Amino acid sequence: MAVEQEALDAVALSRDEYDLLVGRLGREPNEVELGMFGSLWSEHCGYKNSRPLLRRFPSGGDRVLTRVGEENAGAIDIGDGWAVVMKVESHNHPSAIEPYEGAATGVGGIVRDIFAMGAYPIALLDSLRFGPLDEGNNRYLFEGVVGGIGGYGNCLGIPTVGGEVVFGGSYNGNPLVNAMCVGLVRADGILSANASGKGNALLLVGADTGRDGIHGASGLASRTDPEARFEEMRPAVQVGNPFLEKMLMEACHELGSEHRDWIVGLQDLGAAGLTSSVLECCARGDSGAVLDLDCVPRRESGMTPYEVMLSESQERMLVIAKREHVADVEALFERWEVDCLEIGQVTDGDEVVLREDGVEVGRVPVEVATEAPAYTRDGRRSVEALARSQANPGAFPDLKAEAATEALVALIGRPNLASKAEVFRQYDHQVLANTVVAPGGDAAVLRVPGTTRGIAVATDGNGRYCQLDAHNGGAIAVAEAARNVVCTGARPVAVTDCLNFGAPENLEVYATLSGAVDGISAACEAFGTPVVSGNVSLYNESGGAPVSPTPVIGMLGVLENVHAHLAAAFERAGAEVWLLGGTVEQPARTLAGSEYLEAVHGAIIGTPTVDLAAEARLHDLVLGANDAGLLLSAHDCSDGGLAVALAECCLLGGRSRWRGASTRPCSGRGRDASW
Amino acid sequence: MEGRVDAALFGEGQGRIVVSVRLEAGERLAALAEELGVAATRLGSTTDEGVLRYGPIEADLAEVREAWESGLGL
Repeated sequence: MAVEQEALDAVALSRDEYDLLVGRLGREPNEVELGMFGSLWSEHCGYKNSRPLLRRFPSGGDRVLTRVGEENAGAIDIGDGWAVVMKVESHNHPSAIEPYEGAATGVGGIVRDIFAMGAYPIALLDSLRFGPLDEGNNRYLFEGVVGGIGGYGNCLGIPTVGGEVVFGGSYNGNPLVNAMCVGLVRADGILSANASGKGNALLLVGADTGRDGIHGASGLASRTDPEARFEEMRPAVQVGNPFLEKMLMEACHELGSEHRDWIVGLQDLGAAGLTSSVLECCARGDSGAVLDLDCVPRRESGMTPYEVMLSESQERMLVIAKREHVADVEALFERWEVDCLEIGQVTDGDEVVLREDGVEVGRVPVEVATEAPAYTRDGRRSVEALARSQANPGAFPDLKAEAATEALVALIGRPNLASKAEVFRQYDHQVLANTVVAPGGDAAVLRVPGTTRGIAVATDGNGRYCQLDAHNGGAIAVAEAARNVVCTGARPVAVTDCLNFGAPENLEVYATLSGAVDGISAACEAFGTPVVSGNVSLYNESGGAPVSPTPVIGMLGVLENVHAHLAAAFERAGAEVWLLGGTVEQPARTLAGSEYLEAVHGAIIGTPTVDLAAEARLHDLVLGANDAGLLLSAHDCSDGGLAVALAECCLLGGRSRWRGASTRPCSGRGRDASW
Repeated sequence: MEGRVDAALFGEGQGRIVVSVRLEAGERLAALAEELGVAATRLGSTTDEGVLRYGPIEADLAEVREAWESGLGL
């Protein structure tokens, strides 16, 4: 019996993939099975277009406690018996449709990934991209996304401490909403998302299951023509309940930190809901499971097995409890007033069997479902992008010295360089009382309670650079994120990444994806910062054209002594100001992809470059100088160049303590600026 | 300064950090930089005047702040 094309389209499988599936299964799948395979083989869950590229990332190291891609997030040893768990994830497509709920549930999802590891979430960061705000729809998306992040994060009591907001024409109608969460856990208390031990119970805890979010993974995040379907996809966006998430988080934390011996695994329900959560746990535990779907508590009557298995209702977790402790776990959740129901059990088979009212309705082999096909392509560099990257920024007439002051004021007032205080003042960044350096500087600094240690976190990514040269742009994103962390006095130790690109079937897009991965890898090697977790979001398109290739890097740094942290602002008058790592004179090529060039000449041209070895030496210098107690402040000099960096150092000092800087007292020494 | 004004002020060359140090620490910083093979240039010093002077720039920081804080146009 040939399956209808429409049925395949609904689950975003190609005819070839379907034939492959039938071959591996040895039969035709039924409707619910097809939906499950479609979701698990989607880009969102199965990484079928990106997996071969992601293997290029350096992912090992002495501090790394998890294997990349094996768990919900990456864990890094930060010393004194503590580990940081971190991950960044996109919620671009849901946010394009329903900005408030899309962004809010993006935050909810990444937070669950962190507490599924046994960690307590201590900070959130958001890396955002929008089209220009002078267009009404972009403003609507911007306000909704910022509101959703603040609304959800503030209710949870997790501080939002950093991130970026960047504007560009390619993000018109397709915003990028990348949420990063960082959690703390004792290094010996990390939980696994694992289902093993025949007879152990699968407990579904948290919210009831509704019809929201069905096809979030296979549809929204994987389709090649998302825009055409945005309106009809609206029900595919989930609706969040942060108050329930808060209870769920606290209950899971108590379970993981005090009663770890009661459970074998903990997993969140995210993309593809029960399907991915159960199958991925079984794959890790080398086991099977049997699910009784009639035990799944539902929000609506008449839901089919298909809807139950693919619902992406929020605020749900899967607890794999030891049989003898099921009652204990149930009592714990009851105390937190969170529903907890046994929906199935672990088997020693290799299939997940679905039953409804005792009747089998589906049977999915774990290996077939969790090993999606993988595609590699030969990328092709866009001729247009190549020509622009080869154009010479030095061909434009130079800025006249007498126009320099006016140019600075104009540039720093552009949305990309302007203060983002209007955004982050909507977020609570002090709750939990661990925030040492709040948003607005290079990176946020948080103390690790009970120790003298601190961590620094920053996100960075530059779509303009990547548009011109994806490899260098990827490397620069890592270099800048590392530099941001270094500017707080922290040593960069690990990376989480979110790759936001267009459709991989477009070979020009694929070339940028592949190039960016190589650039990120090279920089991570140079700085000794492995990639410990990440996420890929493809099919980001606006008006039929892909968004600028935008890899976002989340960087973690460690401070041995949090009291020795640095901030960007000039603290006092009478201090010397130095530029480290570069000269005052800069070649015209450093204008490549700059905000200045776009603002003044309307051009995005040239090839941005980075010298990774020199960058690493600069980091050593700043960290060494701070260890020696020499530094009062440090600020990354990047977007907008040196003049903007100096102005920011003055402005960040605060309204009541305006600082100036002057080159005038300098004279007579070889190392002085020669203006 | 012989090169281009636009690149010196607004070029986005990577691998650069602006620091401030106590007056007496500048030389030690320079020595450390030399040891590690990193360029270090003294740009000037901080003042209480509320004016940013750098090269051809002489900007009233109140005016710069106004532009910076209202740039999102919210």
